[in-house]
Amino acid sequence: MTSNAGVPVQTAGLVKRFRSGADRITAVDWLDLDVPAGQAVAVTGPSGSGKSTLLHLIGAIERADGGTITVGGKEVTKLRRAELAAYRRGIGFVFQRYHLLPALTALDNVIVPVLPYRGRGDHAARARELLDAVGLAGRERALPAQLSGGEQQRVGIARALMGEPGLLLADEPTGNLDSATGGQILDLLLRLRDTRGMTVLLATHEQHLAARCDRLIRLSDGTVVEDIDLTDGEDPAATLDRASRLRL
Amino acid sequence: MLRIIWRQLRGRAWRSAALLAGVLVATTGFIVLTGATSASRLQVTGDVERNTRAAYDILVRPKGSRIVLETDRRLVRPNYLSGLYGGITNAQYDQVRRVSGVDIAAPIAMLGYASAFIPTPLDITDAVDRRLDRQVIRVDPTFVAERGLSTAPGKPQYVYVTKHPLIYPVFDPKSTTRDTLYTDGRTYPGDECEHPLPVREVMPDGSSKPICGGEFGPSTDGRGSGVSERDIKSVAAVRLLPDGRFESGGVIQSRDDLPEPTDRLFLQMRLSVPLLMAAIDPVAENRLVGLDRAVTRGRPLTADDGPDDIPGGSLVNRAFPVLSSSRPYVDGAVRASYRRLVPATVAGVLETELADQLDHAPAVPVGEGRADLSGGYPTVQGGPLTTLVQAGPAEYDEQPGGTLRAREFPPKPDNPDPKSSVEPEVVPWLADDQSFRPLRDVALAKSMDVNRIWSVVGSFDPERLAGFSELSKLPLETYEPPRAEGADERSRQALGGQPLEPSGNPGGYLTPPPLLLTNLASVPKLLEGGTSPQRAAPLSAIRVRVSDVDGYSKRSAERVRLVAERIAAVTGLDVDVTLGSSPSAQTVELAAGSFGRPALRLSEKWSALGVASVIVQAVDRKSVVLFLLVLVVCALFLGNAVSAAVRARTPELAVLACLGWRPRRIGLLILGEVAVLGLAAGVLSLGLAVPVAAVLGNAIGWQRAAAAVPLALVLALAAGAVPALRAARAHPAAALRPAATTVRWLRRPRTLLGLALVNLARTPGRTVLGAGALAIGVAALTLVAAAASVFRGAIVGNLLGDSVALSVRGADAVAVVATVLLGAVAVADVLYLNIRDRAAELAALQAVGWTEGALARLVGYEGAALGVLGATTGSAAGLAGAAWLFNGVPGGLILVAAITAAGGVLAPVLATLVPAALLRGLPTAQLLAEE
Repeated sequence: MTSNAGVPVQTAGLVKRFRSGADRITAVDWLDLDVPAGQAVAVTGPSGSGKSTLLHLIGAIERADGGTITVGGKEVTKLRRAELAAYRRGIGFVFQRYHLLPALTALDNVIVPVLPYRGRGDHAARARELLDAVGLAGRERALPAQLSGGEQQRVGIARALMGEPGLLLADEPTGNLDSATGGQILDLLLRLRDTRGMTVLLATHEQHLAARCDRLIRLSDGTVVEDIDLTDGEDPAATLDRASRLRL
Repeated sequence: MLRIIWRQLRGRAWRSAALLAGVLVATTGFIVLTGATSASRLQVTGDVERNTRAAYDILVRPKGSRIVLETDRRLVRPNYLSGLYGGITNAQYDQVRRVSGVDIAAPIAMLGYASAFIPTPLDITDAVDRRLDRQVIRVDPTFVAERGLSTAPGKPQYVYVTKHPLIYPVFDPKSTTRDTLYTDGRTYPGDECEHPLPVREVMPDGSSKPICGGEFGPSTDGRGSGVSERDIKSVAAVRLLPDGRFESGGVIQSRDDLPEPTDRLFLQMRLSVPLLMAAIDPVAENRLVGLDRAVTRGRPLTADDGPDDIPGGSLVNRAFPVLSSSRPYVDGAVRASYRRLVPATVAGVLETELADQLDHAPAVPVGEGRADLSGGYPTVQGGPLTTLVQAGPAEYDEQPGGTLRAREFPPKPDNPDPKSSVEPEVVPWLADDQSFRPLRDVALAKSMDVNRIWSVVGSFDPERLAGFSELSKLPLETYEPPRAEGADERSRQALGGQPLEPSGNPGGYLTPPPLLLTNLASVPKLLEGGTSPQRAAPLSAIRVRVSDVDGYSKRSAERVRLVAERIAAVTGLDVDVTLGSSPSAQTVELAAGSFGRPALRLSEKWSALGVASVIVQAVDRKSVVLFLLVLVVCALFLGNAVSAAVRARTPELAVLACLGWRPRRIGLLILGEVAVLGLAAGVLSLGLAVPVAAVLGNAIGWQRAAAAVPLALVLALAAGAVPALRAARAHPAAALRPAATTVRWLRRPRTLLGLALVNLARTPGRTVLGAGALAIGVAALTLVAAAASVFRGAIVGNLLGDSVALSVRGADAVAVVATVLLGAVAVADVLYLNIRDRAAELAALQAVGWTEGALARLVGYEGAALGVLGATTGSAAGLAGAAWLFNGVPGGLILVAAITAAGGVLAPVLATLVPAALLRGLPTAQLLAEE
């Protein structure tokens, strides 16, 4: 999964529960999903619907309580702790709050995922390349505090691409940005998907952004309530609009 | 407010408990350790002016053996050892040997005076009239001592000279005394005289008659105190051969073994002289004074020499090996006048009857003679060991003007157990003289089948011993012969301008140095079965040479003082520093003697100790400083923790500020929290300190333990003051600032280590406090370890012009270890706080593919870097401190510093395992969502 060729993602009977005080909350409830390689999927739904949890499960940041996740033919739910880290290096994760290391420059933040591991070639050159690809050429030496929100997210995206992932998981990547910047970030993600052929799973609650993906999955109470193909020739916005009306 | 404080503490229960534990440990440790601040210190007073060094630096004697003069005037009398018969056990000697800094510990056990009969042959050849067939030479001896001032006439001695042949009894174990074989091949009764086996004179008619001779004296008084040699008479028989030579003898081994004729005729008088006997460890003595190199005849004494049992019929002679002095250091002689008489009848007359007849027979003076002790002394090869006479120390009455008057004692030995004496001995004639020392007879054995004797294996020349040639500069030497000059004109005239020397009186004022040396291994067998109280604690003194002391310097003196202090502390014995001692003339008055010696005023060389040594209880300031370091490190650790807590609660405090809380109230809130923690720790410490101290054998009272409460409170408040002040001054907007600052000067980390350094640099205050806490501990550890190893227990050096010693005690080691451990905990706490503050970052790293191992390595590198920073700084500071104190850098010091630095790094790295373990439970998803 390091060649940037998109990988398929399947989940079957996926379950994740949390304890909140005395209550048990089912964040993901018997969720079945099949995403072909190279598809850009928008995962939408209201707050608490399980969007982020689904991405965390697929990104192996959380462990599932039940079901299976298969990414690129590898069953993630069966991986051991040590294998999970290697798996995570093979996918890209973009966070809503960027999570850059404030003491490091943009360039160093991009290098961070491979910092502990030697023998991967010239990390700095590749990081520069990626910063160039996300439109931050010349800003390599800037610290996060010196970058705008959009720029920080671009650094976050470049960092996610450092491992040449076949799957990019973006959890509300525009949640902290204004709509124009958010649009630019989405443009960037889709352009990268087009040029690199990655599979993209994008959690968002912004419908106009979701409409630009290949497919839209709407979650509610941890389960898929709607699965719309946005590539069937109809204007995706119109499709979504129709779907919204039907749901109402 | 109290409710808020309580809720805050409860809300962070684990953290609060950890801080409370920190204060509790530090406070309890301090209270318990301060119970050990008071230590025995050997305090020296006075300035040493002379750059002198005796063979040894420290003199260790039994407890209470110092006389008042020594205590008051720092004076040690000459031959201070002569009156010391034991008092130090072998176990105490072993303790002294083990004291760090002791180079040589040479023990000496003074045993007492053994008897020796020293030949003083008087040449009477010229008194013989060779024309006469039979004649008797009467010798009237006069015993002389003390430069001729003491004299006593002895009983007459008779030498019967005949031209008739003499026949001698032959030794034959099968024959009886009644039928004794003689050299003429016939047997005669051997019991015709009072003394058995007499020589017989062959009469012109071929018959023979016994010449009743031998030594005889008056009967004793039954006290076992012996017969004075003055009262001994003797009769001897000599044949004047036709060739003018003389033949004399007694019992011979075989008929062919006839006495060898001699050209000169001697009266073989013997003087009974007491020789002071001591036991030494030959190995230590060889090292201390070069005893083996001073041997002039025979062989040196060895530690393995033991008493040899020599069978002799039904009696076993047990010979104890001794190395004898080649010089007697006793002033004694026999002067004699000779008279000649022609006897009526000699052969066949009983000796006492014969002596009475001869006493009254007219005689003509035929000359005079003299024999000195020093002439016959070297020929002495042994002597009896049935009784040892022990002379106690001289005592003095101080006269106006500082003159000392030696007290007089009864002259007769005070025999504690008269029955134990085997038989009366011949005692020195001067034993009846005035005594200046208390005398005691110590019977060595009650066994009738073992005869103890001393036997010479070799002789040593005291003047070849190390340092002997500079006697005037090196007092307190063990083998120095005492000499006293006349202190006034009358005394000088009386002494003929010569110094007074020891006489043959064991109770005499001047006592000779030990002249017979046996080894310590022989002592148990020597004293076995006897009455000597010395058996349990045989050693009289231990002379100690301190290592690394060359001549006198302030540092040497401090080093010697320190070793003396340790010996005193370990053994409880009297310890004197002899380094820098010098001779000091004392005027001593002696009462007139019983044998003509007038009263004398003498100038005697005493030893003035350079310093007076007193054991005092004093506060060990160095220990107090070490104990305070425990508190300082704890304060740093606590300050860091409170600062982090304030930082973590910045948003909450900002909200309180927004709600109208005044800054002072916010500061008080923080202080209140730490005060409650400090108070609780103090109360717990109050309960813990007493039992903990009792378990450690360092009992403290409740009163001292009660100090834990204010101490813990002050400690907590001091640690919390700065963070509280910062919290009070914080602007509400501070809540919006990022938790960690950026680092401009440290970018582009290419490795995990680089990133770890960046992380440390992001919280410089915290890093400095953590490393500083560790550095303090490691610095103290380096100093203490250097003192303990490189400097053999203590660094002795100069500080601001004063000589000081940094020695290590158990409590110090505990304090240092506690400080280092607290420093390591402080480092671990810094890492914990870093992990807590940067949890979201770590979660992000985990999310982008870092393994837990990589995260643990990152934290580990941070711990190691903190350790390296703290440990190297501390080690360098300790090294510099030791070097400054010592004024040099011995090779070992650098090694010690390197080892403590390595230990200083290892301790926090190990402590890092605890915060690193927290990484495993990092709630990654939650952290990523939260920030």
